[in-house]
Amino acid sequence: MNDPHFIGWFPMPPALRRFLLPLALVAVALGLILAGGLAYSQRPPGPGRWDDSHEVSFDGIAVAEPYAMLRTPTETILLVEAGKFGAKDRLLPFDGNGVRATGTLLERDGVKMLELADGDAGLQAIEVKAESALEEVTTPVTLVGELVDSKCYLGAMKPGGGKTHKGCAILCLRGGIPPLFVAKVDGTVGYYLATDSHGRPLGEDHFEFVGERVTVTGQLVTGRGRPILKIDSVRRSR
Amino acid sequence: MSVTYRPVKWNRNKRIYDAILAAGIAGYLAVFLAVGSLIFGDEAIGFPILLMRALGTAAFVLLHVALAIGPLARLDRRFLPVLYNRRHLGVATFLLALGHAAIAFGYYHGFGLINPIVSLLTANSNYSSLAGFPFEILGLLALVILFLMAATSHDFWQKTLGPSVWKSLHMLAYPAYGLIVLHVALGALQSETQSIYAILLVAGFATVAGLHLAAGRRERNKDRRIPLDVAWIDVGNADDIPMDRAKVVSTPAGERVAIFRHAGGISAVTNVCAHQRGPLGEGKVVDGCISCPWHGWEYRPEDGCSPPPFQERIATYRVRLDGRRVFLNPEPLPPGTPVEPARLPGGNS
Repeated sequence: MNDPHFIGWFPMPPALRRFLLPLALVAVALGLILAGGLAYSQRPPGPGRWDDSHEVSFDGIAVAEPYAMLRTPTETILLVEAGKFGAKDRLLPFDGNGVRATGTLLERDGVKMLELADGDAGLQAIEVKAESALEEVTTPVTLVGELVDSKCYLGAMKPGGGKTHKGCAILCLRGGIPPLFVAKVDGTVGYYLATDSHGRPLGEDHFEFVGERVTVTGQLVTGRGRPILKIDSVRRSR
Repeated sequence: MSVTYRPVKWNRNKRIYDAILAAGIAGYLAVFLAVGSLIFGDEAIGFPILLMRALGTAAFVLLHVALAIGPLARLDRRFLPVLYNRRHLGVATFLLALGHAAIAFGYYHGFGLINPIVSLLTANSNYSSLAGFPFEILGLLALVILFLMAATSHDFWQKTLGPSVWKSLHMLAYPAYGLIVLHVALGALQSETQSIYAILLVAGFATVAGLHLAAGRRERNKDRRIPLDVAWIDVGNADDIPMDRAKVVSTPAGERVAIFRHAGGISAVTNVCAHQRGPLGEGKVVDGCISCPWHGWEYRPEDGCSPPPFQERIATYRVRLDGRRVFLNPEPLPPGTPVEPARLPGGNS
């Protein structure tokens, strides 16, 4: 037929079939190549891990402020509840005392977090040796990096940072998950617990900067567990 | 065409169309998930996020295809069969987008202190910053449009809403596309580091826009300016109209008229199909009826009525001949008005 005309409920004219079938196959093949290319080009999610199939325990001193954490003789372990909730309320009765924290472990670049087990099994009072006096060092700094919610970033979500994660991160921070400021300094990724300039938990005025590349000016407190970044000012970076 | 409403009026062409569509979608998702799962080894992207991205990108790719089909079919009528079942492609696009949104909504805004809907709408209210803009809202608005289009992608709704309202509703595909472009540009593109995503976004937009501009330019060139006071428009020589095909002219009022040459002579009807406003002038007279190139709706050239038992009617126009020269009266007659075809001297060959 020299002048093929397609009507849906009749068989397709052979001339049109010869034209369209190869095109359809090429379109599907291009779609598959596109799928592979898009998947291949994704940003690596980072080395965060969450072994939620095994519970582990750590002994140390409970610290409720500014965020719930456990200070062992060798490291600081952030503590959170299931979901997008911090563990401060549960930790407060133990604040400053020895405690055994049990839960599932999240870890990224050596930064550890426990999602506490339900009920009394999560926190148990124990006797521990008192902490030796440690001297804090405060240094004024300006850092470029990203403000993240620690639970997702350390492994609960992969990836757990960036603009697409911003809404989730804000929900986490509102629920009491400790915020971390992640910045590359001298080629090494640093993880700093972020507080306001007075060392109090960050509030809503800082949440709008979560998940974006920002420049932070403040005081870096080191020498006693996880470094704390007291934020004086924050602005978006180019 | 049918006198009753059924969820889907299946035929062999629709089944083949849907099989290719389903295979394409399944293949796309499988490749995306396989490559995305393997590429980072032990540091793999979480499966819900990977699936969310696979569904979202698949929906976006399909939306490009859906928007490209229209102008492609105008530029080359061999693409018209792809247009025939486009509504299935549109519904598939919505379902993929819905899957993407459901995972994003549940995963990013669930498990928290506040209602997930409240979280979605209030977590980020930074509307004054381009980098910080709550791109989720743009995706949500696009999803609402895609839902309205998918839900009304049926002849029942087309009849109920009327062709104009229905067409206007479905033209919202373009704002939806714009919203999704911004959703991607202000969302994923802000997180990803590879420039391929920005390049593909621009290339996709340029392709869709370029095809529409090309088709638009071609359509505009068809519209010859006719003085307002012309009583009869000189359409040209009847021999220039292929047998069983039409020539399309524009009236001074801006209406397009399809002038068909068929066994009965020369007849003129509106170029606009009563179904989805398809271009009847690009159709063909088959078994004595004008067959719309989009979905095969039929009208008799001599009175603009669909053959019984169908009841659709379109406007007809008067034509006359001066030798073999065709003249059209630009005043439309009420839909379904019989007009005796103009007989060509010496027969219609």
